Amino acid sequence: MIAFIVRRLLQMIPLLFGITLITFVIINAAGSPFSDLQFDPRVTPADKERIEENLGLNEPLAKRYVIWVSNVLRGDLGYSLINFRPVSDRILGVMANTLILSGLSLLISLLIAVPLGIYAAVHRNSIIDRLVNLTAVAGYAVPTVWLGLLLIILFSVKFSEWGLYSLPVGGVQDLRGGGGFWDRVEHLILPITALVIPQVAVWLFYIRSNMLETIRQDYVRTANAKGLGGRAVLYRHAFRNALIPLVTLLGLSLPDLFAGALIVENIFAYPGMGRLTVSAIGDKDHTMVMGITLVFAFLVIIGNLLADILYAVVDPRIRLD
Amino acid sequence: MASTESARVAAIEDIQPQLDAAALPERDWTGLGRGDTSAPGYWSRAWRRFRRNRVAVIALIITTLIIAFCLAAPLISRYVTHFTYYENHLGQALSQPGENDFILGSDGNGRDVLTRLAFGGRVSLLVAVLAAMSILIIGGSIGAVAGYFGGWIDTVLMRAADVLLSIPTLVLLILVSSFYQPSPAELAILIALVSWAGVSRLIRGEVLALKHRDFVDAARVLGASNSRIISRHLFPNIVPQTIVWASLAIPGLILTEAALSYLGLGVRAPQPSWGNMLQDAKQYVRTNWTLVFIPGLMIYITVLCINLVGSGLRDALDPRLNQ
Repeated sequence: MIAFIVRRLLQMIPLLFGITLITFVIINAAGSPFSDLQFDPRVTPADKERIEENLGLNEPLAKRYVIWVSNVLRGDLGYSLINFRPVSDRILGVMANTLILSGLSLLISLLIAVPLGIYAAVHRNSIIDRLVNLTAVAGYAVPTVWLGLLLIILFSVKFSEWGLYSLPVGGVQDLRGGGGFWDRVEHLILPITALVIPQVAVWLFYIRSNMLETIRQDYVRTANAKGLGGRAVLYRHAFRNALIPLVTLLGLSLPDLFAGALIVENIFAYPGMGRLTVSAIGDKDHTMVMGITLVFAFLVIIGNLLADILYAVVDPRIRLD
Repeated sequence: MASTESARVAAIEDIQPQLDAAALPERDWTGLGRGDTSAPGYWSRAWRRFRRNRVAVIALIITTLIIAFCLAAPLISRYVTHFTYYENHLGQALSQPGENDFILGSDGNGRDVLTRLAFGGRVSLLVAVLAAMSILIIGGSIGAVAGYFGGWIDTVLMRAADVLLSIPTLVLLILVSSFYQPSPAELAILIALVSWAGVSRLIRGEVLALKHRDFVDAARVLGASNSRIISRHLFPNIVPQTIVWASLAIPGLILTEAALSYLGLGVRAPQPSWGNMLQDAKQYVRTNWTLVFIPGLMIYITVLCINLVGSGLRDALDPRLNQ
């Protein structure tokens, strides 16, 4: 097991190297972040050059890449070009918000989708199964942006117009709630709903088809033939095996999860990494953008590594060497 | 005559599953090699299976209607709404549907929503279809080359795919499109440049599974070059998978365009797309909720229907999957 983890960690090195290279090249191909200053009448060309010189922006690209990567290796993501505060501080400050939003939405989606998907598969072609299928098909196609805005329109705007209890439009806390626990929860309800609905649909597909596949296996038939009751077979034998592939899918779903969080954070003005990404790009804050991209990629890689390890833990048939 | 013909076809339909099971490795997926033996070929049998799927057929009809609606945008503008998509009527901005001759209302700049919906759909669909085609071309050739040649070429290409797969595609897209401010066609290419990795893995897997089959060896023994083997022997065998992939990817790409344009980084004003109509409508959630509802509904219906057509195609083209 330890050898496996060490080998996987070693495999991450070229991957991380590739990620730094791609990020650096894409961002720096866009030119100097200060190119707009040439249109600013208050800034002379000499000033602009001095700023770029101070920040090391006129060094050759290769040299800048080496400097940046060696800093990153030491855990230093550099300083924001906008307020010259450390990029890592800023990212760490909002990372918890993003992890809460995406983690909770994933958890809730699974809590809804696993029992429903299993039930639908076991009672194939029943009314519940048809409803589950319909929900999955309908939920899978919903544009997150549209869903988020509709939630705002209904639960914030219309509910307050109708004099009903209404939910906040965005942010994480407000003066009305005073930042307490319930205030935070209130602000999370709509963004999480917008993330959960499409996710539930995806998980329902996977879980239902995995379970259907598992029910058809020989050992399930054997267990039935031995005279075990239907429930024991389903929950002791089939259910646990049907969940194994989900572990891998969990790892693979992380990029989509973060992409969804990015959209939702921007709809609900939720201060997380997704909102920081878009605002940093608007500000041409190149070091910040590179830092966030790296952190996103790093989270995905770590998630995949955990999924692989977990896979070996839940399925002893997997040989790690 | 006609009745014996159809009886023969029905008989073939009946035994076809057994034929499929027996003759799978040498099966001619394209039906091109069958000459005029007049047994229903692969594609006509697939079409038969597709037609039996009522939901998929209805979805196909609705998809066709939506495409027709978008293609007919200039006609709609001229004969139905009598507005162009860029024409401002600031005095009549934010009309509700039906008000001031705006059938579906007008937006914050007093532009007709219905006209913009038709023109916006063209852009959204164009971006999605073009992106899907470019992804197939890029990812398909990379995957085919990696799978066919193997060795260090495979390693390098697949490590590159790993790198792309570990950065959320939307983050990469935001970066790229914010720096280059692309036109819709360029946007499609940019989307393809950052999202080919998944397809390349799919195609590589298929090629790996095919390349040691007897018919490939036979072609090589006959002296066929690598490029001929890839294009004439391997490629026709993965056509069904690529069609299924494309029909399931296009809805996802429509959603990608919508998300990007919503963030202000996709299709840019004044050119309408369903995504940037949503972005524009965001500020009017308190007064004109239909501005949000209508373009989003179009995206939703389109994505839903193409998804259904796609899964119908999957079942029709690969009956083994659905047994």
